[in-house]
Amino acid sequence: MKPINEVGRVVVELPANTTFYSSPMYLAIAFEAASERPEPLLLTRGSTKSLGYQAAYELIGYTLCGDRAQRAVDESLVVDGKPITPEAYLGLWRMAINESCTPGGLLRLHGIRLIAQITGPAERIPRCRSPWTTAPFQSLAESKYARNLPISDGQFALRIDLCERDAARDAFYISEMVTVACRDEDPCSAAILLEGAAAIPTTADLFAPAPSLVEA
Amino acid sequence: MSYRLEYQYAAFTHVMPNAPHDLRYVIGVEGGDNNLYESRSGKRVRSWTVCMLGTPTQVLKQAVYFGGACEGGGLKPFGRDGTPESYIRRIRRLLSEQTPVAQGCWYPAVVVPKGHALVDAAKALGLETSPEGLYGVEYEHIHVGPDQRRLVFEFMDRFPDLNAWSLAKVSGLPKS
Repeated sequence: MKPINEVGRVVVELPANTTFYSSPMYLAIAFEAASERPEPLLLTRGSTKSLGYQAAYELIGYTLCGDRAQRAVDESLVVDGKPITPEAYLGLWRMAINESCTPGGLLRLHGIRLIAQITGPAERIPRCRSPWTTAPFQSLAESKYARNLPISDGQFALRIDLCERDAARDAFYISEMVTVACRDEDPCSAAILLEGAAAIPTTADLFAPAPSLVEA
Repeated sequence: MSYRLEYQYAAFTHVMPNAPHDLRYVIGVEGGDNNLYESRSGKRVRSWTVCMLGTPTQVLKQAVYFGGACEGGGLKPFGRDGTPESYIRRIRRLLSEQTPVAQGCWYPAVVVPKGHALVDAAKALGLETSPEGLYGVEYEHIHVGPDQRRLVFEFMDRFPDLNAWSLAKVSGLPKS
């Protein structure tokens, strides 16, 4: 089987007030070589009912050590076409965390918009109440997102652009409210979607001449 | 919240039959929880377990997985904070140094959840099995003799979902 060829990575930092943990949370995006252009892939722990925000230790210790760093051992994952040790691979992601950007920065620099999409049965909306006292609003109905909430075939589908102010926080608490309101068999979900054409992160060539010098 | 301490490491090697270059490893680790103490001595409880097993690639993948626990403080080799990278390097050194273990041995001890695919595979090989119960969970003990050690590694090759401690045990290693 062809190895995964990771050609870039970027980590998005979400503000400290995003969850009740009062510490920064992160979203990690890997870029994998594909036929036409690199494919961005959000790295999560696989839950369909959680937005997948991760603390730095969760990203390194669980998400990466639990999957991609192991693949580096048998070269079923390579970086820029070359084998890499799992230690060096984790080092690349540590650098990405240190150089993290905001959702706005991700859009500006890499052309990717982060959208939190939360869905659930419309009949559960009145029961969507926050289990956390730190929530900025105590129910979905009280929030600005309840206005003009798209509903189709009995399902609501809320989309929140993480570039908006406090969007990451609001999306987190709403996904928690929906989880509390829904029964196990209810079709509800929460996910971060990557929208837009991605430009993979590249490092500038330090020795490339400046355009003005070339023209001269 | 509790964390695991690891105190000692030992690596046993095993050459697969008819394949002198196919070296397999059994990694024993002495470890225990930070909040469990022996009532008489007051010392932290610790015991030796087979934590990783297989080819160098299989062992290192297991090391990456377990080393991840260092990042959140859930695993502290020698009682000190560490990183997954340092844990992986420690296991890598263990594999490359191949220091002979002065005291102790490892042996097959295959116990898997009842209904695991290995049970049928073992029966197809003519191995005896017997049921075992532990903390209300049903397991199947697959009887593998000391002269059939290669089967432990063949089981790991075929069923990589199994943990090393489900396949082998160590004995006679010195207590810290």
